Amino acid sequence: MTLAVGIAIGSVYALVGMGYSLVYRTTGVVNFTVGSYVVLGGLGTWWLLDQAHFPYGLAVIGGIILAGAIAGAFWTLIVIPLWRRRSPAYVVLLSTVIGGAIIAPLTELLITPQAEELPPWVSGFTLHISGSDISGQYVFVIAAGLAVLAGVSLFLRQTMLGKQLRACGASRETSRLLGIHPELAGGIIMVITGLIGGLAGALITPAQSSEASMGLTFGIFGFAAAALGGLDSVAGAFLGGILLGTGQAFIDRYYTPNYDEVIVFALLVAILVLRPNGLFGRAEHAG
Amino acid sequence: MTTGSPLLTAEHVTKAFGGVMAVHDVSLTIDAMAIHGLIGPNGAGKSTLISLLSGFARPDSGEICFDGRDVTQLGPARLARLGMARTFQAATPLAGMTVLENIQVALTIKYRSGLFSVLARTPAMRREAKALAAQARELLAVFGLLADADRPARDLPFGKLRYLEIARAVATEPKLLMLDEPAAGLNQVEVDQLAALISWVRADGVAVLLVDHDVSFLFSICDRITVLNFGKVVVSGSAAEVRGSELLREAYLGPAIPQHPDPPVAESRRPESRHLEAQ
Amino acid sequence: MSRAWRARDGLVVAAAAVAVVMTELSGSSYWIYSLCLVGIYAVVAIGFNIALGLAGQVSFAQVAFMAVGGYATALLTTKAHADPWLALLAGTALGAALSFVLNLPFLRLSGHYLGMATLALALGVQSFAENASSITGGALGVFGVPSLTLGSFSLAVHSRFYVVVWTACALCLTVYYLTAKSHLGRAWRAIAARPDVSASLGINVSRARILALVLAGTMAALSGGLWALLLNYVAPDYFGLAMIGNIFFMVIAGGMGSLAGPLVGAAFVVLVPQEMSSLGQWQGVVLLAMLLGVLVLWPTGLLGDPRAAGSITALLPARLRAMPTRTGKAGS
Repeated sequence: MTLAVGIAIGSVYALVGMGYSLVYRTTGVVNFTVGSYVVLGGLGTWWLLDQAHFPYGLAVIGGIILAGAIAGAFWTLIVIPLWRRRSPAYVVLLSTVIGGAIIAPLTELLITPQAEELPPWVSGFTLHISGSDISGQYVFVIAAGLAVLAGVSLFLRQTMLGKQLRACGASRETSRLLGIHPELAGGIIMVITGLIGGLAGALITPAQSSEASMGLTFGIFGFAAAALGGLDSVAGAFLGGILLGTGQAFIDRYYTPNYDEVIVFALLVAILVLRPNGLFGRAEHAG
Repeated sequence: MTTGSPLLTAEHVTKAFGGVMAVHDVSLTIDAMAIHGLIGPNGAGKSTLISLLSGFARPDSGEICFDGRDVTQLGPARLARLGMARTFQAATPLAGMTVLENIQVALTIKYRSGLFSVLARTPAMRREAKALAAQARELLAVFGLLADADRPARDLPFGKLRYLEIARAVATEPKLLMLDEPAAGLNQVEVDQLAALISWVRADGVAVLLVDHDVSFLFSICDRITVLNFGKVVVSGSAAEVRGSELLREAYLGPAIPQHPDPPVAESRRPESRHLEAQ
Repeated sequence: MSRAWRARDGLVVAAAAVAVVMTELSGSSYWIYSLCLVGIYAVVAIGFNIALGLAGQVSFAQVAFMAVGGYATALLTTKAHADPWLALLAGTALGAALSFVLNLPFLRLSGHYLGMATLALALGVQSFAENASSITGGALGVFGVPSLTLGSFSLAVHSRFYVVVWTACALCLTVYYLTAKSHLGRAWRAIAARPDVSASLGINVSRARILALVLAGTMAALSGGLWALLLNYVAPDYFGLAMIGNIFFMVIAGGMGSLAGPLVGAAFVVLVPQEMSSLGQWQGVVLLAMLLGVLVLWPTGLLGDPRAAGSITALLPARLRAMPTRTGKAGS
């Protein structure tokens, strides 16, 4: 049962991690706001359902769109101006850290400061695994994770646009020569990442409550997932997320729930120092 | 260091990048106080060779000896302190620093004072700083840059940037100076001035490795020349030997074709032509 | 850096010195307390100005060393009953040592990867402080940190502690000034611009980097210790993302590599929120939003050299820009 929960949580980390990887491969930007879209999706859906009394399906769609819209807005209002000012990469990184940090209090103030839950997608859908019941919602999360992985990988490898976007990530100048507008491409990718995050939030919130402050936690764990798998490998990020989720679940259950964050951070530092390309990334120099 | 004794020797140096042989079994000797030219078409491996010699890359096999010691595995900072200096192909003025500061940075290795001397402002440290600042200014004067001393280095016009690049390398008081395409983009007058400058540097006891495309420029001042093509040494010897060599012509123009007595292609083989197109 | 800019920096520092002295003389407890905070923030900012402003090292870990200094001082005084002065010195020394040891493995990283590893370090330290309740008191922190005393002369009164804070600040500023204008400062600026060219000139890039990072870590630890002594309290809350943002903001918005920059940045970061306390819950959001705004609008800082950034018309979409800029590129 721990394994199942671990894989499910890991799928959320994986989705966030894939978001990091996707954005990084196509724009060269490490975007720390990616984790916050999970919370936005989940809580946005809750608000539409609970406060605006939308039908559930519509609320989910609304929550996902909200996450995508905020992602796009952040890109347009913050990253694009910084690019135009030729800001150094660390200023862009810093702005995304601050962006991620700002979404949490904003969510608390505008949507809800409390932890909220959503009704399950299929009521009564529970699984019996080794004597305990877990919500079937977790299955949806895992399925979504796999679907996104497949979809994004296919997109990047097989479609023309996907290949162009990959070239884009290497150099903004090159992408211009290829006829791609890097700002627009980055914006589209960001919105897609936001939508994915929002979906993850809408999926996981029925299984466990979401709270505004979790956005940064997801951001960090998602980043650890991406780093574990190698920042430029989407599949790696997925695997990294699953590993991380299961690892955390086991540590929580058998060791201690208190130090799980510290262990993740220590692991992240070790990975970055020893194998900056992650476990599955291609060999490139570290920065 | 007596003229003529070997200063830098590279033996059977090889470097491949992902399956492409950039440099293959290259051997080369540069004598003290010699001016040694390195030419070859684009993609011949000149930049890779310079990277290997200056410590920015390690050869896959082979040995490099400098001033009597094996330096194959050493990095650029160590090599600089042993007396090897280089310039870069595109001029690299240090952003945010003035012309004078660029030279002063090159003199950093001459400072003996560490953090504590700096904080305590010891008399030794102050003397040193004054002396080295004066030395930097002298060097700027030699290169005609003294008037620009306090200008941001990035604001210099193209030709002066080149001089700054060379002045900075010379400031480290090297035994060997590697110049990477110093004449690119200069007009004939500037090239002549550059040639005079290089001769002056050599007269001061510095060996020079000169990489460039301007064949007539190289032949006018180099003692010895090495020709590279496809990562291999095509021909190497004194300037006179190489100038007459068939192999040099082949490297640039391809193998000789049966010709009429007055072939139009002979036009471009005249020594005074400034540039040979790569084949 | 041109003479004009440096002269202006000197003027700002002089003005700050006057303001500091006059505040002490005024006796206003509000202002004295506020400027105590400004001084403490300035200390960590000056250190970070060396690491980032001069040497271009993007390290998010300063806050971790602040925590080290703060907790060391707090724990040594409360648990080991050490003299507060000794605890402060020990905390600073510990911060120096740890910043040396912890930054060494990071030397092989740069750019993004350095940023990410140091961010993980900083958050890890905060998380540890939150969770290791038996050592650090957990989320509640450490109470009852005694104030400094000079013999029998208590420095608990803020107006007296003020002198300690601003003496420390002046000391750090002097260290900054002396190193920045020496060959060390030039080496730092060179490696910030082109580490490869610097290496080709014989500079030991790793040594220069670690020196900058250790100086930054030491000042951060000093700042943390002073913080513990001022508030008589430390808690993990103080050493998180908000403080990371503040530290970057002070250096970037103040003007990277400028002498007075950290002072201006620290004043902003302390005084502006106080004026905005009426906003209540919205304070945090507005502050972060302002930080983002400054990053976008003044990338070289309020005191920085505006020529170093792209022009502000670059923010407009390509179609609206009238003609290509002087650099020849019609856009970024």
